[in-house]
Amino acid sequence: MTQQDHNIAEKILSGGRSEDPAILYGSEIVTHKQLRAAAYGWAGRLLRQGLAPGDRVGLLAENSPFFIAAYLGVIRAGLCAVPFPLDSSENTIERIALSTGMKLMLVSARFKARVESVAQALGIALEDESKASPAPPDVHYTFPAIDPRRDLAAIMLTSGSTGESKGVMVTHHNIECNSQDIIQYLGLTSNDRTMTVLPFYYCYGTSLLHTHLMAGASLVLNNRFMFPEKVLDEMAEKNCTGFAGVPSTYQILLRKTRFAKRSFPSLRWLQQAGGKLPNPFIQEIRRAFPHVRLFIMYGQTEATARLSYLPPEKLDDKLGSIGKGLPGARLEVLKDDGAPIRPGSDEVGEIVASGDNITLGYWNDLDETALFFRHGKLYTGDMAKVDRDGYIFIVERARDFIKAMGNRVSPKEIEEVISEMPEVVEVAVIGVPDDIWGEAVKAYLTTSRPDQLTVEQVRTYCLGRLPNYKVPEYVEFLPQLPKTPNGKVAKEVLRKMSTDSV
Amino acid sequence: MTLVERLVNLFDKTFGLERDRFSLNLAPEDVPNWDSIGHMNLVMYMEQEFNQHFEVDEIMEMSSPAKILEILKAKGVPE
Repeated sequence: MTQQDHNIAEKILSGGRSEDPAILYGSEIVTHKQLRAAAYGWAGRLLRQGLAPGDRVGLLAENSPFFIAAYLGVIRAGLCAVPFPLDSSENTIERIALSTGMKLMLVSARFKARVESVAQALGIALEDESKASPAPPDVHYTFPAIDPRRDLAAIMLTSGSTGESKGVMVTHHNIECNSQDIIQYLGLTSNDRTMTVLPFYYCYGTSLLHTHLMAGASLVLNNRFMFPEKVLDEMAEKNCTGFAGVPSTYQILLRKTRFAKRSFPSLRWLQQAGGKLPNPFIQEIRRAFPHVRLFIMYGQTEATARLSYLPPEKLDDKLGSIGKGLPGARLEVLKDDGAPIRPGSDEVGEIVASGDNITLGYWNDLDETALFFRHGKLYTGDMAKVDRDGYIFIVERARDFIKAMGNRVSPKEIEEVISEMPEVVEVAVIGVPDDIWGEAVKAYLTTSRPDQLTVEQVRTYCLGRLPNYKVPEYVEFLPQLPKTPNGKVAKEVLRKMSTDSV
Repeated sequence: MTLVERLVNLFDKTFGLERDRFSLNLAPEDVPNWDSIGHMNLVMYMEQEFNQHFEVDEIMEMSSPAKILEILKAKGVPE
């Protein structure tokens, strides 16, 4: 095997039989052979632009054949893909482009206007989806060799503890190991076809892309989850064997659609990650689809995607558990002093992970990297107990993130917006359990004008300044916010207040 | 301007949909870019245009111009 065969995009692009479908997008069908030609077309075009191995290439596009071909083309050419979240503002795009030293951006037609001025101001080349044509089958490319354990395939953006996004450095080897583990435990084969509603800029979505194509399976892309019943129609019509969602995906399907009453004869498995799906929902899915294997999983962008899964046959016995570590990932639950907690006891410790899926850390951020990546291990910030059989149960997230609609929402960002209102004295934002959104955003605030400021005014102010899912669902005024001895807002007290008031 | 004309304008503004392609029975799959992101943009423009706030259930029901009209009328927006 030559050095360049380690390129993860090559392995993903070689996964399927030539004439089998790789992507189904509306009425469009792209075979594995066509996808390979399209990705090679992008790779060749990028190399002709004089980019050096490892150069960062931004990618802003909805899930589409273009996204997949461009993403894999970038990686195949030995470059590093940086997928932007679709709600990135011009300022965010500019900040990320600058911090990653981006050389080029690839955008779909609808996002071109959003990046044009940033690209121009920073002198970054811009290519839209119309620019690449599939590589002719007889063209032979020589791609730069890569070192799979050192060279980055992608920088995946994730919210940091300060609210600013951080770039997680993912190597070719990280993706390969994590994908192989996932393919193995899901039992993915070329007969699988998954309904894909999760965005590819999010590591869970990207893992669907990696694993399915590598296994020679196919992806049905549907970007209209706002109309979930239509997604279910397509899932049935296209004989999907699998479906992947975050907690709110399942909560919406169970509360807002006929999901549990419908029949999906081809459906073989369901997978769930991206936060805790409350147990009653897990049980509802089990009752509705007794013959479908339901995988409850746990992961982090910092671990490429996946860290653990609960085998479906253990669901009843170990309800609420995230299972055990993947074959390639070792999970320990450690106390503050570094000693493992006692299985079967009430002790709580932090989940610490090691393995070939643990990424290299955060791009250009040594401080944060040193905080979470120590001695070759990832300190996840998630606190857990372990039962006597070794199954892990997450107790709480040490980090304060809210997971609304599958999005990782930083309370700090919302607090900052609300704090801009002149009548607001203090504000603290927390997540409260919500049947539909997974967690809903709740803002507690104190005001200087209790007779004038209304809940509606606060929400309206946020509506104009934040994406919809970050606008507080609940707003409550308090005479004062509870504080810790060192003067910080005691969010634990607020969480308890909110739970007690339900 | 009638309510339908305002809606035609909003579909043009949000999705770049040519006026002669507009019909009350359009479905999201008939309109390029009418996906979840496009839909949230449409809702944002509608909130500005009609000075209304829409609940999640209403937003999820807006799967054709005809259904949007029904929701607007139920909220008392004059035709």
